Amino acid sequence: MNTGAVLLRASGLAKRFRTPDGRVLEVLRGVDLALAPGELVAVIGRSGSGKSTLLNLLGCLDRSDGGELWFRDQCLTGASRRAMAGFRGRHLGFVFQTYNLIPELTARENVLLAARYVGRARAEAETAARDLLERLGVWERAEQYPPALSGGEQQRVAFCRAVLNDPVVILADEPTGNLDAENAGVLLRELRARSGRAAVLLVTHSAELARTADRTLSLIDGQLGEEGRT
Amino acid sequence: MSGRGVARRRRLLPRGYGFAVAGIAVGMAGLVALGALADRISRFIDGGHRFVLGQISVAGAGIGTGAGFTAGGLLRRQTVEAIRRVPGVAAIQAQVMLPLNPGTSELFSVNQELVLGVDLGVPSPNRNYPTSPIAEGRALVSADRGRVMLGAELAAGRALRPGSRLRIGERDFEVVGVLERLLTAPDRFAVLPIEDARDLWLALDPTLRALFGAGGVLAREDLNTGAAVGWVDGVDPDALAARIRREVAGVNVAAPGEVARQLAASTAFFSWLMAGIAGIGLLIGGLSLSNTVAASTFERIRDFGIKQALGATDLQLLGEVLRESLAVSLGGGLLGTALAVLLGIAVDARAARAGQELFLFSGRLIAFALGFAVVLGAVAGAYATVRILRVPPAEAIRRGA
Repeated sequence: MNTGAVLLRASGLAKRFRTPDGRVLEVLRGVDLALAPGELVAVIGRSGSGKSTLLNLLGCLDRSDGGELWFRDQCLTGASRRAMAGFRGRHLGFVFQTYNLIPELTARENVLLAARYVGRARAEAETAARDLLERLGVWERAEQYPPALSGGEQQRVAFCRAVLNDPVVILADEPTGNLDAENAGVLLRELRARSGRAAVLLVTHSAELARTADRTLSLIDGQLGEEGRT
Repeated sequence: MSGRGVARRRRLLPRGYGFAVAGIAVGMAGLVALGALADRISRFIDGGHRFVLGQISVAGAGIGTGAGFTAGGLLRRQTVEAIRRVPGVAAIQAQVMLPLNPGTSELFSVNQELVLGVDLGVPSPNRNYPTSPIAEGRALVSADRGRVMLGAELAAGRALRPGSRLRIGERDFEVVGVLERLLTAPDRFAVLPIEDARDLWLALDPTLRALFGAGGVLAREDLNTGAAVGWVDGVDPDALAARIRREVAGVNVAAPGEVARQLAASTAFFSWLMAGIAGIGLLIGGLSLSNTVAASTFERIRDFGIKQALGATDLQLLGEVLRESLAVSLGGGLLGTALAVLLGIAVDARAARAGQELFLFSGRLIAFALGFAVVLGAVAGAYATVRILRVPPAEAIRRGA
């Protein structure tokens, strides 16, 4: 459900990679995309179709070779590193397929990491982290280090970290790819709940997961096409 | 979960840096140990300088039979008196210097043990050693005969203490005192009354004995291998040495400045050895430390990508790395210093049986080593961070996966 103005807009995004044998691989060729608050959008495509690359460009984790990216009225293309860091820290939540928790930090410390870089008060962040970890059912495991957590627990902790600062854009890269049905269900419910006030974009190769989205886009030959709307 | 469990845990060192700290500690142990060796050599050379710079050393003209710091023949009593009358001379103390073991007297050795017979009726003219710094027992007094005061190394090497007896030549001497360790030549001296030293000298040297027995040629007071001359406050010792040379016939005068230059030339090997040891120590310690810190930072490239994804700025990440580098380098530096000191104590305990001390762990050396570790660790960490920050966050996460 689209409830208002566009939050994140990509226009003509392009990304090329040079292969080891010197060939240039055009992964994204002029991708146009608009995300509005309150909608959950799924991007599907084959493995290697560029879904993760698209997510990295939208999350300012990589620089595009062409096109523009706007967050509200701020052009992120060519923005300073500091501005991009500010966008990532305050407005963006990124859920990785492989969780990407820092192994030297406990689950709780991993979640609190998100607050550290935006200057959020520690006490307030501690409370928010506890609320999230309790809601996701991993508070009892808060003082464990990631290697001691199951895959489902790690993904729930990673999700808590991604949403600790109440981001308005959530990008999820195959968020249920390594989870069993029960954990996948928990995460999807949380994503759906978050989409009430944020724009959620998830990439997946699972048609079943895509069916839960408001819109499904298909990435084929480096370009996005509309699959369907629910 | 209990509230206690959630309490913030404080760690002395960042988790996962154990190997980095151990690696740095090994390098720093090498740096500190080699530095302590170099410091010991340096102090030895400086100690020699300090001793000879505190006095003007005089001997008689000609080729000496003594083994002191001057080369020359007998310094007879009338010559000693003539020197005493030179303006600017504060005191002169006749001396007899002999090798403790005559069998080694022809070999140059920085560790040569010497007998020093001194005229105890005259205060020490050496400005740097006006009194004998006693560690055990007492100093010699003018009434003593058949008694000896030992340097620290000589005493330790032979396990001698006050009350022990030391055989020199054909005579036994009672040890009355042991000097403090001065890290200089007197550490290997057996200091005894000049009359006893004259007896030893006569017993050692048949030519001198024949000359002395000829009757009327030499008196006992003429049997001096040299003398230590002190100067009046404000007098330039080198100028005074030149004046003695000019005004007193038949003397070899070693001005402090000249002796210092000669010592510097003769100890050049040790100075370069010291510089080499220190350089190797810096190289080993520096490479080990910078390589370990940089490698442990590069290993965390994925963490950098994740933190950037969470909004960390370049400055925040640099600050984190600097803090971690500081903790790790300081931890490794402290551990390495402790290892080096323990190693040095163990080696020195063994070397002490031979009267030697190989390591000198000065506060200056340890402060330098820790400062070096911290600065180099920070530079290495900052370098690695700047290199990592050139990589886009997505690529950093991918590379570290």
